[in-house]
Amino acid sequence: MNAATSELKESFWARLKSHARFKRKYLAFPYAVFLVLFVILPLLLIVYYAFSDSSGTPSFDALVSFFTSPNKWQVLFVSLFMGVQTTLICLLLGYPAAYILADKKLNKNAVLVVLFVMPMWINFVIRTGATRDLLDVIGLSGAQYPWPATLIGMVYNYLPFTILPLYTTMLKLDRSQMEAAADLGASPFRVFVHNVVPQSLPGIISASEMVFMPVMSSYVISDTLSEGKITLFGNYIYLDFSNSMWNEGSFMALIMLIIVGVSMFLTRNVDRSDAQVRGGGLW
Amino acid sequence: MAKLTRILALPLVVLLTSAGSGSEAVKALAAGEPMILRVWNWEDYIGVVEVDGDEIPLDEYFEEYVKEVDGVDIDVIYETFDTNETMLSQLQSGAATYDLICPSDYAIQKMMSQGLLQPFALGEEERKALYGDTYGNWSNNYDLYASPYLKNWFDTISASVPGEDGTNSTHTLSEYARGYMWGTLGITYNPEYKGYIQAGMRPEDVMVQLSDWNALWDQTAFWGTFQIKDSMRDTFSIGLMRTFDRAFEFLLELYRAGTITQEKYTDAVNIIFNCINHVDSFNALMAELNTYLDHSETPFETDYTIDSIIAVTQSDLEVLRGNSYGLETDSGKTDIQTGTRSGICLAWSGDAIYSMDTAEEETDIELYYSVPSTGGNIWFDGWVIPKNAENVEYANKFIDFLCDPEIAAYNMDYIGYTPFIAGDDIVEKAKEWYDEKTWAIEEDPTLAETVTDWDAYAEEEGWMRVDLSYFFEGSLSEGEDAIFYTTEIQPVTGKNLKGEDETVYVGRQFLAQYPTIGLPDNLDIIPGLAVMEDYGNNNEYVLRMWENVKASGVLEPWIIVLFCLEIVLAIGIASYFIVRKQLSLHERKKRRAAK
Repeated sequence: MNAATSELKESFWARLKSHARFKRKYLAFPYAVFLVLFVILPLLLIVYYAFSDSSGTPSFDALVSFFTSPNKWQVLFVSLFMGVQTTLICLLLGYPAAYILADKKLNKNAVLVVLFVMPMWINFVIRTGATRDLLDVIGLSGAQYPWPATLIGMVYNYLPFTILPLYTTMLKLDRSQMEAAADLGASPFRVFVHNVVPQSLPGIISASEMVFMPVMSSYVISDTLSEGKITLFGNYIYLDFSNSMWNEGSFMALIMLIIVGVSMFLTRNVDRSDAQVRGGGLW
Repeated sequence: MAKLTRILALPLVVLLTSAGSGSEAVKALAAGEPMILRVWNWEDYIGVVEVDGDEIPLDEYFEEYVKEVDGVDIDVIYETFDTNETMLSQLQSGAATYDLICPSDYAIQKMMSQGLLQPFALGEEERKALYGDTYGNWSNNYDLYASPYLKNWFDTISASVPGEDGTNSTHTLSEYARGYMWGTLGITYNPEYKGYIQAGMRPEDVMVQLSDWNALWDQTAFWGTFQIKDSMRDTFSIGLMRTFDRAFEFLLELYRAGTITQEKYTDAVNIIFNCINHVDSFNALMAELNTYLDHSETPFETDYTIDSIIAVTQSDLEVLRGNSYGLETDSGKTDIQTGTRSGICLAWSGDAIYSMDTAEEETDIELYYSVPSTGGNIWFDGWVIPKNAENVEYANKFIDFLCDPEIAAYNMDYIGYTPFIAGDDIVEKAKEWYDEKTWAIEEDPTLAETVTDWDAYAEEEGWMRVDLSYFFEGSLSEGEDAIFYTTEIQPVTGKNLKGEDETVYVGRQFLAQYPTIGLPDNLDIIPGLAVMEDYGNNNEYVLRMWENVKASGVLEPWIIVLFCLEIVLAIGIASYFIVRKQLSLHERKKRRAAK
């Protein structure tokens, strides 16, 4: 009995000692605090506000209001459209650019990469103000052409976010595979479609995510460049919040979260199944 | 987990104990330290005073002033906010405690009805009780110098304030607020904008047409050249001017013909302006207007509901948004100075003065300001004391200080908006800026002696006589008057929207600074001005309307077609790959089976 207790005591101290020792996982502690305070708590608050009324009692008013307002659907559709267009244009422009930048034969100067990312060094509000003046000078003012003006501004702002992930993936492209395909008689087009694109798929996916989501929720760029003619979903949320309609604003924020979540889930899924086919995970 | 809490607990204990001792230390310090006055104001909304060659903001100057007058140290903590809404939500959440805040008229109403405010010390007895020994050092400058015209406005705006016992009682703004700045919402425009010249319009035509709110709905020359405010309340007020244009027009006619008194006219304009809150009295007014109509004319509708008013105004605003160059939050006042971007922007009078001044200096463009004859919005910003204020005494004293006409003149000089305060210093400053007579005497001092009849002299010189007594009445010492002579306000004849010749009076900075009264016809702005009250519970209706307006007009057919095409394409590509994958799997299986 005594021996058993002393053994237990010993093992307790031993365990305590081993626990008290500094462990690597404690390094995550500061971030865990940050995560709880600024990510999880606000998220819970959003959910709480989305499903309560102005007096704080649980209610589905905000949900009903959202699903019965055609204008909110319309704005959501416009935001989706804007997000998709910007993503497509960014990929079309960014993909070849990243390919050239990553190819050491074509680009012997690393400074070029910096040049592509440099616009990010300036605050985007200031950049957007300058873009507005520029578009006015070349006759593409948002007053007459709200869509082209806003798309140009969006692409300008988010292109670096497309190029960077693509560039890092392309640096890791397995050139020998491409050469082998070419040696075995594949045309450059076939090499591209069947080798380069699958290899760079993770880059394409993370680039799309990094563009699509912020564009959906941004509103400063569309407000400034379309001269207030294109209203995005983020703008609607802000409008409700600034009029103390916390519940409906929160519900719309929740909708946005769900859309982002779904789009992420979908792309991850596509990526995983693709990785399985290729028999290895790049992502 | 237990360990985690212990790890957490230790620093927490340290923190708590140190915080406890800290606050005591603060308390101990406070005994000998200066008092604190916390002031919350709009950005760029307080003047500077020059002392020994240094420019000192008035809030800092107040510290010196208090030291001199009361012999105590006070520390003014001055902070700023950018919209009434952000200010309100911060205050409601309890995150902010201040002794003085400067919201706009409707926000004051809202704060009153939410029980967030306490009244100012009214009357000498209350002031004596509050100020104690220092009572003799301060004078009630607001009562002495605030313009009677504006004080009268504050008496007419009221809110239902919740009392301690749970019952509500109605109080006016005069009890709970001290006016600071005021102005109108009007149209700043550039009569020589290239688009108007290309459309074959003379500057005079532009001037005449822009003294009518309907110009903004005109589909010809002004189309796509004006910016409207991305602000629900301001744009809604413009929408109402259009929706009920016929009623406004008719009322003006009745007033000019002398059928109704000025008081009745102003009341009626205010009822239409606030029809959302007073649907019944609005319908009654429409019914009353029908009694003045001839039998041949179509009567005004008398069965409006909030929904029907909102619906009509919404469709008017959707058209307005489509016609406009765009919506702006702050860029309008600089865009119009470029001379190429926009020809018109809707502006508060103070912003309009800023645009006109800088355009004149920098781009040599003469901008004008108009409040159309059928009426418009008058607004006020005023100081209030929140219920949880800690230094009520010096909050009251700060108002006494700001309402000193000399200090108010510094404010007017620096900010450009028009202060609530009248008095000698203000009238002198205004004359220094706008009065031809003052300029003439400055150039040739002998004129002051030789000219006896200034009215006759002015007529010879082509100056317009403007009487601002409505504003300065009762605040001026003997020998001062509120008669101005100006060349800025001029009659102009041009073609109106119907293509007929019409004469209107146009003005610039002077008109924006002090709306006029007593001029022939069109510039008689004052009686047609209306305050837009807090919408209260009806805010949601207006917000829904504004959301609809902002969503309108974007979804063109090509967008839907393009989006559908993209979706079809995406599905096509995806199914191609899926089918191919399935096929290859199938083939592999077959090959394996063959082995």
